Amino acid sequence: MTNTGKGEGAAPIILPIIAITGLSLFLLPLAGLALRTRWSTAFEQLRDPAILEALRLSFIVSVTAVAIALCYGFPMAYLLARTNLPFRRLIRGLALLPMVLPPIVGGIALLSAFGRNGILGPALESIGIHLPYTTAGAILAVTFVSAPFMVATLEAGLRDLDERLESAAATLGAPRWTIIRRVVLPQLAPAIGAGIALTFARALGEFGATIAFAGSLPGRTQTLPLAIYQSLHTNLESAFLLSVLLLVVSLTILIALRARIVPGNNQRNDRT
Amino acid sequence: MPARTLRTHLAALCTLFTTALAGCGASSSNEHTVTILAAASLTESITDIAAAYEADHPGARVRTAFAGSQILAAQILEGARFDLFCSADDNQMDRVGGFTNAPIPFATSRLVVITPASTTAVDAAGALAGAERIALAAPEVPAGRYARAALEQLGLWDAARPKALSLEDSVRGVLTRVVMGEADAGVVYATDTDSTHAGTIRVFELPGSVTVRAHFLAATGSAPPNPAGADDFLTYLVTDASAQAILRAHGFDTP
Repeated sequence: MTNTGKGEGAAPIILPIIAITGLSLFLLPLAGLALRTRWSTAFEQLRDPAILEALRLSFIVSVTAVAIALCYGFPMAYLLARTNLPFRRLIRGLALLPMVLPPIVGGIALLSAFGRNGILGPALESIGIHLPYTTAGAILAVTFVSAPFMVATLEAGLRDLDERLESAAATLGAPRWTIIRRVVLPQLAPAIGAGIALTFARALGEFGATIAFAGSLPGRTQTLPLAIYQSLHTNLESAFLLSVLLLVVSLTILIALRARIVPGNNQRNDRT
Repeated sequence: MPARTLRTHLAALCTLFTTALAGCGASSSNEHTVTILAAASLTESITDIAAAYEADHPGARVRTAFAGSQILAAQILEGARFDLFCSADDNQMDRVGGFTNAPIPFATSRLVVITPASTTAVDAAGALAGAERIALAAPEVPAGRYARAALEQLGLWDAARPKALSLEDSVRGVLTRVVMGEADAGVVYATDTDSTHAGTIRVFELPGSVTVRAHFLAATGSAPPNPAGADDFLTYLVTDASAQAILRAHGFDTP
């Protein structure tokens, strides 16, 4: 816990050499992306209706997925962090499973549930609900993959809160809902912000579950990553440009989050 | 953890890492291996022909990769090492003209309409007209281009296009959507449907007025890792009686 400046400077020389060499493996490709992008025509390319359509769709799909993740994520995180739910560990594991599940498996699983020949597909279809190969299906696939990031972030946020404030409010006679609204949620704001950013970043990049469950149709289910995949085989210029675009969005989110996702950073800032 | 153990672990890790990288980089340079990039619709036929070739040529090994021709062409343009490229159309073969020798046509296939087995349709036009959702390949994919040309000849394209379920990246993607029952109809090559799909899908021939046929071409790379193997396999593919018989057994017509 008492890391002094002296201790930090004493790393054996081999460690920074390996670390920096390793880092270059990650940075070189990103630099290559920026270098191979044809910037002179970038503006015109970005005004291509096909690209605008993918951008618009990606935005709609990701924002909706984040909204759903928030509505589901808070109750789930609250149950996991604040109650003695039976089988809590198992439930947490299941709720977070998509974080480690290959997205393509998620997509095929969604088909087996909501596809035409899936478990629920025919019933849904009989009441006029079509999920596979629709924008709603793309939102479902993206939510499936990204919502666990919201649950995990909010649960961690709830655990960091000072529970004594909630106890005090309860002692003063505040109903449970009032405590959540007036005490928990305001304090949780930074975690909610981080959850939104992480979930949005994951949602924006989703590929495997979407292409398996929703297919790839421009304007309906072809989000930015799917558009990049298609242009990779036809129009490399626009594949590079769209990739740079997603890279910039990711960097922006990373910078916005830097205080929260670097472990220990918060505490150190608090204590010095 | 004692310092020595840590060092041993680090060293082992680094060795493993560099060996793995080097291994991956070098594995394609085996001089007895013929590397073939082939259109998705050739999956079974080229796999069988490769097995026959290996049986005929002791010591030779054939490695195959199958995907939509446009995907393979893009890989070639970006530096994929290959000995032989088999494309499902001229467009994708032309795209890689700078990296291949003159292509040789070696097979053709007619197009068919497929539906789930439960269909009530009696012919191809009826299957397309009655379909709510049609599986198509993207326009740059050979199967997508051929399907459009064939449906245009039938005057059905304008009605079919808005019913597209998804634009697939290979003809096999179209097949899968219909086999899974997600699409009511799709246009594929006759050679993509075989006995394994009996009972799952139904196949409808297009009317005789449709002249569109898929043309498969093969070309050796202009700087292949295994020049002798590349030429030898191409010769085998286009002239050997057993290779021709395998193609015909899978439903292709050979010139």
